[in-house]
Amino acid sequence: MKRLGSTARSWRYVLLAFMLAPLLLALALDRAHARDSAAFDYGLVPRQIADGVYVLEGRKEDFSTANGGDIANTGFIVGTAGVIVIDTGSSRRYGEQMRVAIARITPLPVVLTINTHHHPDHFLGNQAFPPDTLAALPATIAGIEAEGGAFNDNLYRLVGDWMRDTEVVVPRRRLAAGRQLVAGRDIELLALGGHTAADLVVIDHVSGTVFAADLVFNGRAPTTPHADIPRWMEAIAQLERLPARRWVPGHGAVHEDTEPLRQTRAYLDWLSRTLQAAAESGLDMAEAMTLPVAAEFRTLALVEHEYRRSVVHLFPAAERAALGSR
Amino acid sequence: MHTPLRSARRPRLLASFAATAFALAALNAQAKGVSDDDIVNDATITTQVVTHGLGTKGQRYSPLDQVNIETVKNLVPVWSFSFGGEKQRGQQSQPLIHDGKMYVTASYSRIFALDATTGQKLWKYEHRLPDGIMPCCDVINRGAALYDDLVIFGTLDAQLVALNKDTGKVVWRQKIEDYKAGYSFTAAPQIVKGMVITGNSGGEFGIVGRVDARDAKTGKLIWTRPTVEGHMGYTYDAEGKPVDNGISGTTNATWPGDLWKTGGAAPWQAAYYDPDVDLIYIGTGNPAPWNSWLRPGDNLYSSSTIAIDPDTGKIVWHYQSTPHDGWDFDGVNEFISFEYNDPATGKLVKAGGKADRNGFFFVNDRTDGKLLNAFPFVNRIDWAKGIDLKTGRPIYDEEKRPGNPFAEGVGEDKKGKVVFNAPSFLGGKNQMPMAFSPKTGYFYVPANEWGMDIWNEPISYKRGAAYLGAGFTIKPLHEDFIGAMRAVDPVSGKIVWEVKNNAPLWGGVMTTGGDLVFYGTPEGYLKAIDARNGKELWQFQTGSGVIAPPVTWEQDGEQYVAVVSGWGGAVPLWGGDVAKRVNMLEQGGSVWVFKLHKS
Amino acid sequence: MKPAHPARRTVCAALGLACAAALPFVAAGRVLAAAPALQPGADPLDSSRWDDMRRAFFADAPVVFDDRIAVTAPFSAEDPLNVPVAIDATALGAVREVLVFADFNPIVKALRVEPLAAPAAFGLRLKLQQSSPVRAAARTADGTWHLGGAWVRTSGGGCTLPSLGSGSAEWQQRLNEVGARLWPGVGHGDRLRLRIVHPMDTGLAPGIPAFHIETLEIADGAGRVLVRAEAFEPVSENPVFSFDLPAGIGAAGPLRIRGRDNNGNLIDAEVRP
Ligand SMILES: [Zn+2]
Repeated sequence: MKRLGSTARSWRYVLLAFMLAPLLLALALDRAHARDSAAFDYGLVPRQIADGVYVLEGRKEDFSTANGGDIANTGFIVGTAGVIVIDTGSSRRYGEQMRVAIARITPLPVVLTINTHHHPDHFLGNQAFPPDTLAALPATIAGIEAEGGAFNDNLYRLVGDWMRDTEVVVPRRRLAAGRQLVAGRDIELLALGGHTAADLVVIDHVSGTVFAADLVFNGRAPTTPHADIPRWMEAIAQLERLPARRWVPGHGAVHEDTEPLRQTRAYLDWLSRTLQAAAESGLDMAEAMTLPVAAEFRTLALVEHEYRRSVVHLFPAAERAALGSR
Repeated sequence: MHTPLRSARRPRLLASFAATAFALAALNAQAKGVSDDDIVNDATITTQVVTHGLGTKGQRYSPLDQVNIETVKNLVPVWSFSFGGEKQRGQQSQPLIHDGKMYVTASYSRIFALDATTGQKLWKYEHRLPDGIMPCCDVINRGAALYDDLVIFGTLDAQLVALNKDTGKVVWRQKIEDYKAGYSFTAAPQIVKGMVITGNSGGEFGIVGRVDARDAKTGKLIWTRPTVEGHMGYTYDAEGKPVDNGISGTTNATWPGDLWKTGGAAPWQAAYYDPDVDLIYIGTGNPAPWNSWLRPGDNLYSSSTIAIDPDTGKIVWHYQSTPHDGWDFDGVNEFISFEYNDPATGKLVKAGGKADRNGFFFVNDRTDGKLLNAFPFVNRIDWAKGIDLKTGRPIYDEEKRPGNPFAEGVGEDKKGKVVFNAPSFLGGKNQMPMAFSPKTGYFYVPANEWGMDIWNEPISYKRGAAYLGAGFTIKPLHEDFIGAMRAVDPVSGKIVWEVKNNAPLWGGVMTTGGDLVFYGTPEGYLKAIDARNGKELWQFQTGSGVIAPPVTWEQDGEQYVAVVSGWGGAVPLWGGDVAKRVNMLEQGGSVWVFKLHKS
Repeated sequence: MKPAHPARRTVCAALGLACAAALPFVAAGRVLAAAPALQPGADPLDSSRWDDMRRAFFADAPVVFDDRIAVTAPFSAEDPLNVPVAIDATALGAVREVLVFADFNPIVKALRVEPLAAPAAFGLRLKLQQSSPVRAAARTADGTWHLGGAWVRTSGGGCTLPSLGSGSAEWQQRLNEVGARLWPGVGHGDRLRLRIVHPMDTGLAPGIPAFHIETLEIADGAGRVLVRAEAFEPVSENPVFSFDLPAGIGAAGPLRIRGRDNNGNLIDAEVRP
């Protein structure tokens, strides 16, 4: 049973909450926003970026009670026979409002709802979508099963009543890499990883649009709670070879060329080299946190904050190597 | 040495002995059932304990006096029974005694039937609990109810199970509520007019408090009464379909917006019943969430005593001891019917007494709820300067409400101003029931002296998740004691005597015609003290902390005393600095039974 | 006090970065000993637990909030099981002992360090149960306690969660295994860093008894004890410590790290410069 410790004191438990706990909880509280937080209206307006291809761009912010967790990009592709949804946002309300936004554009049914990876800003809107359309890579499904509950608890704490009635819905359809017609649309799935254990990239061949998930950030510092940096950089290298016409990053603006890929890769490269060097020169973790961010990345949104989080995620491994401790 | 049972002189008892003799004659034919008369007269039938409270009024007074201030020194153990298993945790059960058998519940929703004279196990029922149960304050159970040939108890997954009391086989099972939404059940059910009356637990999870009445023989619902203003009450027709029976109070009168939909006010202790005025009394818990800034208003019927008409399922009166509670001052403590002569007029007053979590002892007219007297029973109370006897409302010290986390100037962590307040949220008195002696006219109150730092923070309701919006640290107020067993005169409002205890008192109390007060301590002792002056006369080390109320009965001319032992409950989970006074205590799980040794 | 910070230079050089500010243990980060030096009065961290802390640790001894003792800790704990804290009390001169504690932890005391023949500068990681001040108190020869500290926000749960290793057999095979290395010219002299495999169970997670390192001693090649430390339950699992040692300390031969846990399991390792 989920016994005493975890039941009686579950209010104190936020298992794995640290994976996402941002450093500045209510960072954006005072900022003026178009969104109406009293009505919990995300103000979602899909933007058409190609024929039948839409994006709902999230804010380059951290989770807050002001933005309701609308910090990641979601999107959808309208085929001849239905709609393919790419990520469902951070809450039940987000998912519901996203469906309303889709319905304003097309009467076609949602036939496939993809969770690109198991981070909460990408799947907690699942409740609003037909359960049998929910789909993800097997490792993403496992990640949602294992950590989804803790992520959900944590988001209630971070964004408050925006989360009302949000529950974890685990996708049951297991996706694999490959190219096929979905809803009459020529879609290719790439099963990559590095940001998390499984990151799914969706390519719409007709329009040349690549939904790169959180393998690519644009103008916003990458997050690393489940990162495997070498694998991530490899995945970006693979993406760079795609003949894409436009890139939809997981966070940040849609871009026509590969600049966001280069930027993400450069940051990850700097990050891992910095932490390795810090460990190799005998710095304590608290000291590593105080190192300055390289000038070229200082314009990235949230970079100071994400850097310090990344030290916690990545420094221990670098340190073990430096200490010769397994 | 053997002292004859002096209580047999009482005429009413003679009648009950006759009934016992008759039953004994028929012993081999069929085990005796528990009748409505047995229940209504439980306080005076000394051969049994068939109700929670030694009588439905809950006075926990037994007229037995074989064990008395003279003889108690000869009290020795007769038998002890271990609940066994790998799981222990807190044991808070009050045993029931009927027909030579003991029915005692244990942690993790277990119940045992034992031979009351030998301790031999007759049967055991162990409830299969799901993984997701959410008891706030340990996996405890406070006891069962007996009716006819049934023994009925509630489980941590918020179900009610009726077993055949002779075989332990399940006769009926009913779901009280959905444990996944944070509901649980730990109290003892009470039988009133053939109905089993239960509340529910889960006030820390934003559940909706409710009192249910079921046909005790079938488990079928008769009525339900929500204890949060705005919710509809129901009666149930022959097919079990709900029929509207009026909303509790007026929607949004004392709650803003839709906060009442998750308003807490769980009546998580036993109901009591006075057949004389024909009312059910039950206390209600804290409003949810703890953070009171989210719910301006009195938040009825949280932190109240409510009186319900057993025939209609409607609230007849209520008295709210902590309106707009901001300190987790549940009003669940037992409202005990008693009588006294008004010192001014000499008239007999039908009253009820309650030692509240908030530190005040309240005396109300039990026919209409009118406040008659209110006075502190603990040394320090910060949150209110007193209770206005005219309005019945507390005179708040607004400085002692945790600061508003939404106010200007609150830091980016949204933590409101920390205030120190006594009593702590564990209360001047908590779940451990007090006793009233009609002989001395005193209440015997297991009190605790502690305060807390408490602060508020934002919180959002999430089904099945803790819903507090507050943080806290409990602190003892004195170096040498937290617990204090106190004799309280409800008429004068004076504390007549006290016996201090290092650890917080968490077991209940019983008083007897032998001028004794029995109670247990976390240190493991069952103690007997002189009801008139608090002199300590006897104690026995039970091997683990005692956090359960004792009982007594007589069988074959001998008076027995029993108590359950097993440390746990809320204190070690929530105790803050108090943990230092209790973290050396070990768990256990057993019943001890005592009687006078014959030399 | 030695103002040079070669470690910072090394990192910066390695990465070709411009590094202006001073670094190790002297707070380029968030150092919250905000009160002016030698302020006896109110707690600059405004903690409701301060009076209890004072009573528990310092009784009637003189206590000052002193910005000469620097505590570097993150404003918010990304991982409440691993909150990095660096302490530098070298500006106080000779220090007899340093206590590290967190007001709101269920077990308040985390580490006690006696820098017998070493600078009073060290680093550790600790578990936090909830948002709390993390403090360091340094006692100087005159018996005065000098306090520095910083608030660390966290979602919590750090002390009542089972250690990650308690579910695996790893610690049972590698208990008290030490990985350590000495960096000459880092910090206030030479920097020793070490990692010990140990679950550091607090005893607060259900069903798991307290099991933690109790003592740790670092001696030079001549057997002279440089630093003695007493560890308590809140120190993180598989603890990593940094200790600044006198410059050139490796010259007398390998350093010796010895200690034991509360079950009597011994720690014994050598570090060759
Ligand atoms: Zn992500």
